[in-house]
Parts: sequence; C-alpha cells; structure tokens
Amino acid sequence: MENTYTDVEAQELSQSSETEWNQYVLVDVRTEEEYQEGHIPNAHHIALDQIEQRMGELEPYKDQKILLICRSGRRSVMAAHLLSDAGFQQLYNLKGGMLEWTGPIET
Amino acid sequence: MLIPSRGKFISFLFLLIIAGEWVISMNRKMRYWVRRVLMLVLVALLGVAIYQTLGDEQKENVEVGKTAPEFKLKTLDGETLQLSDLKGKAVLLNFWATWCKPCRDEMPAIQKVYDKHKDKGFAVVGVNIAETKVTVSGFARQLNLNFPIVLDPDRKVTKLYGIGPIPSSIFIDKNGKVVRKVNGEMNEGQIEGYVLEALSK
Repeated sequence: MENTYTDVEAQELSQSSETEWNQYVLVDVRTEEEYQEGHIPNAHHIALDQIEQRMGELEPYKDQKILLICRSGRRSVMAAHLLSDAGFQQLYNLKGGMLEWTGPIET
Repeated sequence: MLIPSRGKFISFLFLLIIAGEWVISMNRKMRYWVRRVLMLVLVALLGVAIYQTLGDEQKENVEVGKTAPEFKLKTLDGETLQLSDLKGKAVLLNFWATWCKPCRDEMPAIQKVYDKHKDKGFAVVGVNIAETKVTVSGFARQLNLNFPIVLDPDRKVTKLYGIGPIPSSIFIDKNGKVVRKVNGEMNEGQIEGYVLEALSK
C-alpha cells in the first residue's frame, strides 16, 4: 500500500531549476485559506477533502507526473493514496511540504 | 543497404539477358528446373532483404552469451560509473523509472538480494531512464536503496541495450558476459536464483 508515490524533497526541489519544476503538474491540497496565503506559482488547488469529488479535473494529466503539495507533506501523502486508488500512476509527494519550500511563492 | 550502384545494376541486367537467352536455348525439362531454382534463389534473396531491414530497426546488441556493451554514466553522487569498472563481479543491470509501479515494487527485493550477496562479488547498477536527479534521489532515499544508481538522461544506454518495456534486467557474469535477460517484475527468489547463476559462471 505504501508503494504508491515517490517522495521529492521540498528543499532540493526549491533549489533546482525551473525546468525541474516544470516536469510536474502541481496540485496543492491545502485548504482554501492556506492556498490564498501563498502557494507555488501555477499550482492547481484542490483541497484534500474535495479530492475525491474533483478527481476528474486531474484526469487530463493522468499520464504526466503529478506533484502533490501541502503544508508539511502529510496531507499530500493521503492525497497520493486516494489518487493511486483511482488509478493514477505517476504520483509524487512534496516531502517537507511548504514548510521546507524556499522557492518562489505566489499569493 | 541493397541499393547497388548504377554500373552494377547495368551489368546485372546484362547478366539477366544472357541467362534468359541461355534458358530459352535449353530443352523443356531443363528449362523447368532452371526456372524453379531461379525462383527459389529470388525468394531466398527477398527473405534476406526483409530480414535485414527488420534487423536494422531492432539490432540486438545484448544477447545471452555475448559481452555486455560498455557504457559510462554519471551516478546520483555525481561520480562516473563504467561497466568495465565492475569486471570480476556479477552484475545486475536494472532499468527503471520512478513512475513505473512494477519497478518500484521490485526495488526492495533487489536491495535485499544486494545486501545478502554484495560481499560475494555481486553488484547492482540501477539505470534510471531519463529522469532528474531530484526525483531519483527522492525515490532512492524513500526506498532506502544503497546500490549505485546511474542516470541515463538521453536514453543512450537504454537504447544501446535495446530496452523495451520496464522493468528490464540484465544479469552479467564475472567475465562481463550476459547470462540472462529478464523483462518485467521479479521477486526476491527469482533475483537470488539469477544472481547465484551469474556468480557461478
């Protein structure tokens, strides 16, 4: 069950180049308020409690790498499990979450 | 490939005409047999041509019993790894990617067998296909992999080894010869069996 996603260190990713980020479809699973306060540019927003209903929005990205983002990297793991159960294959988890993200932030 | 020069083509035509005249000058029975043989030769030539064309596309560099092709790639730690550095060891070359579920599933088994036999002259090289360092290092850390992983950013080695679907594994003996090719996920028992086989040669 745990073998469903790949961890990507937030710190390492923040320090790498833009092409590195661009290989992922970014999905922020925090609450609306948290997202408004600041998120990684171009991140889609689907709160964890809505992810099951709104999974369809991610359907077009099914064969791309989906990077799940939250504050600490816990909710994104749960999102990864949900998406994996729904048949998503290329799932990545921002380990350390926004807490360890030092790259650009957009409000 | 099979495109002759103009001069060759003309002399070939000339030959055909002479052969034709020769056939006409023969009696019926003889003519029948000559035609038959010529027909067979033509069919055989056509077969060879088709075989060569197909063979060009999927050239087999890696065959059991042959020496595994040499390569040189960068490891995750930034060092250079060359296959010939591992001469004298049995080697498992495992081609994989982080998005490939069966590759991920088979990793812990590879790690286990590696831990068990690395002191007996067994080495593993994980060849990651065209992914970035950040992604790959995250994966390696998450699954506690400690065998060397090399990055094949432009799929050069993947192509050299004619790798199709992954995971795909190549077992190499101490003399650098390919012992076995395995497509698809393996379990711990299988891996160990193949490793022992490679070590025994």
